[in-house]
Amino acid sequence: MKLARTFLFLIFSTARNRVLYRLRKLKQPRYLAGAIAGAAYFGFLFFRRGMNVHVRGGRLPFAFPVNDLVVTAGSLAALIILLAVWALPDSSGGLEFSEAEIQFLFPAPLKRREIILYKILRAQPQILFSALVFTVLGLRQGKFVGLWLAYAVIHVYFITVGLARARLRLAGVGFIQRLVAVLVILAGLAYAFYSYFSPAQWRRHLELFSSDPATALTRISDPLHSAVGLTILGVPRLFSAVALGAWGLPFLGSCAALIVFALLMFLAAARLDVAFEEASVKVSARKAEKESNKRVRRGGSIVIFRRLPVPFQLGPSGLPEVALIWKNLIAAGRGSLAAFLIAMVGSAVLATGAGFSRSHASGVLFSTAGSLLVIFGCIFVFVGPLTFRNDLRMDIRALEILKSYPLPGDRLVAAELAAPLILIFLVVVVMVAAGLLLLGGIGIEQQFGARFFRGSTMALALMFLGPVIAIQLVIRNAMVVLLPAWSVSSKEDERGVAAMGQRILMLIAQILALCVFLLPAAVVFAALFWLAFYFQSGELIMALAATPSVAILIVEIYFAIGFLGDQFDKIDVSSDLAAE
Amino acid sequence: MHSFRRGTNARHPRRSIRFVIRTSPECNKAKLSTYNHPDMADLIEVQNLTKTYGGFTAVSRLSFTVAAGSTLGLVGPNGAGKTTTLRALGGIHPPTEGLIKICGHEMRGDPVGAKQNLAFMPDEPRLFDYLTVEEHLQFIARIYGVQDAAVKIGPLLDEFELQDKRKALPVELSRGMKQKLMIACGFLHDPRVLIFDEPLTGLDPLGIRRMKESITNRASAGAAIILSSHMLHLVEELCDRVLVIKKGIQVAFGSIEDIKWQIAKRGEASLEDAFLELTGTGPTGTAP
Repeated sequence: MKLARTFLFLIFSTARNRVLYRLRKLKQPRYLAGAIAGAAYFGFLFFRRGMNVHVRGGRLPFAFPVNDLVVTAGSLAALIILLAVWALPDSSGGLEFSEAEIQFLFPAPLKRREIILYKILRAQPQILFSALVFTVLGLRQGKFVGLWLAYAVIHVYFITVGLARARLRLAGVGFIQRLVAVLVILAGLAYAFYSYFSPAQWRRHLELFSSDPATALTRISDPLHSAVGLTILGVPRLFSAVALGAWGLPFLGSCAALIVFALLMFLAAARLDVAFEEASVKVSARKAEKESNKRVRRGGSIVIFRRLPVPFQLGPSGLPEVALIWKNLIAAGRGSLAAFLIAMVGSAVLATGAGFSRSHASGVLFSTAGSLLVIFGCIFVFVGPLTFRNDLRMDIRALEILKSYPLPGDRLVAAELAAPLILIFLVVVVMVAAGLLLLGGIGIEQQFGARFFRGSTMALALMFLGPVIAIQLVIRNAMVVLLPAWSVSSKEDERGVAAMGQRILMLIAQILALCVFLLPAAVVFAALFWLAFYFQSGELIMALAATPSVAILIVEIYFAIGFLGDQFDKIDVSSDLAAE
Repeated sequence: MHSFRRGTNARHPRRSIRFVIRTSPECNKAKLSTYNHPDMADLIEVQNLTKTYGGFTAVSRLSFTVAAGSTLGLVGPNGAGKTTTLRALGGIHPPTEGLIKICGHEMRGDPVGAKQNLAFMPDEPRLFDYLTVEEHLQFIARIYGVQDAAVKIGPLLDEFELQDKRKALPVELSRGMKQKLMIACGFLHDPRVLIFDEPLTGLDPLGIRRMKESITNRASAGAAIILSSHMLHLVEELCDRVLVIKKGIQVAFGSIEDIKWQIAKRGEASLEDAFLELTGTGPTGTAP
């Protein structure tokens, strides 16, 4: 009992301190702004549902009539979950603990059942929060207690089964045997259910389903209410009744039965003579590695192709910016994006080759492939800057090192942007060119009108392509330079309302910035284009109309990079990233 | 409270030193004489360096110089402002106030000139995940325009025992090897100013010996070195002068012998004794 109090103290203190930590962070404007935006977003979601409730006469949009049919369906789902957990791989046998818990609890003079008790208690704040969210967001009307109890008991069950799996492994029953056993049981149950009705009866039920689904489902669920059905679904039905069932004595009875079930599971877990410590350490290490990889991948720097050669040999003399471009191209090549790039360019080249070799044989196939390549190429102009992050976004954790290089900020920023710009430009050009060649090879241009395929249109698109990609890269990198702390986040900061709000604000800011950048050029282009057509049409006129707009974009980029360079020089890594 | 005077260094009498007067003037009188050798120019000059974060002052009015061929130990308790000071010197973050000059180039006005002459080696090795050991050196060679990089890279890899790891990525290196690679990158362009933050962390005994030799060799070759470490025996071994800071404030600055002598007054005192006394973290817990 004393130990349980100690565990509860630890859990309560952790939860309280986490909340206080986040509240304290609200003193910083970046977290406060994020929290306000996040709260506004969740508030909008919640009140929108509230408005719907009003409109629909008191019923939540997701609410459904709570009847026996729903509880039965829920119990079937619970049965599948309860069985499927036995078929999880061996590697998931260990209980998951944080590194601090492993360090403090495992060497402590605690019995295994006490550690299991801690594990169960520790999960409660998260379970309570999940139950609360589901209750508030309208998946269920009320019944918070029921949802919490169902989650909590299934958590105990998972722990017990996890240890039982480890025990079975010691007894020589491995993953494959367990998987086969579970599949056989599920198949047997499905067959027993199916064979309860004759084929003629099934036909009648299915016919009835189209006109009266509720009655059809009630009839189909008959076997689940038989003595055997009720026995098999006994425990799963408890979960379903507690989570979904109506208030009343049956609900309270189900709660009591479920608590007894949880106690039995706990006692079973405590009696299972399984050393889970080693597996737990492995599970925790794997989780930490996964987490780290996820964070690194977000920066675009995870190394997949370790031995991929460098794109070109870097000499010691010349512009130092080339070194940064070289580094980022290597990162793109050795990173996860290389596979994507190879796949896209490879498919484009293959499709083009195939299109030429069989120009008139499979028109539909090649027109589809060609159209898709053109469409994806166009989309990639805007998706590319999100995908290729081999710039300051990738190097944000090395800002300290970058800042120590003898390179002015504007030149460094420009060099960082160059590699993704080159890559995106090439991908787009290759994809669109391949697509157009495919379409052109089968004469499809006649169907869409020759104007789109004219050289002048292509030249026009090429003129705008580089600046439009560059502007997007400038905006995305501006977020890193202007708000570095929003661009890199600790594990703790990734979650919560403030983090959600930060992401929303960044998205809005990026869209607004893009509009601001593109608007002047778009206005000038539209005006000149109209004038050109009004007085005289021609390819030269179009190019002349586009040139000032492209010039505007280039000037904007030039000044934006200059501004970002100044900011980069002024950026205070230690204060901006101190919390990370 | 503090006044600065020039005096001779007991260990390196030819070097110009500054120290905080903390003892009776007569004790130092004999040693105090200004001496400025033309070859011993101050490569690092710091005047009134102040760094604040919001309302918190991390470093306050720090002033010191480091001459060519000299190694300055920067010591202080946790949170004293050592890393903040080093980062400001490395041009990583701008000081709130004060002047920093590296080889005559002011960090604020001519950061590129200043950075071209220095190497900053943080306590945590920050490497690029996707570049091999050799590619890191090639990259740095281009950034700093090291013309004879091809000749230098091999010996550097030998010096830091990375020759057989030249094709390895950082993920394939141990913490100590990463540390060595970072320092090798710092040495590649022969900087005249070297800034180390805990350079021996993660190194094995042989690595520590090699690293100490490397640092000593660079100092002998005329580099000005600042070394921050909690390992006081290392500071005592490698540095000719020491700057003690506490809560961002300069507590003592001078030759190790002077500082030890000031603290000991009578009898023997180690640098550790002096450190504990100066920072008020000793058994008595009182600041001097």
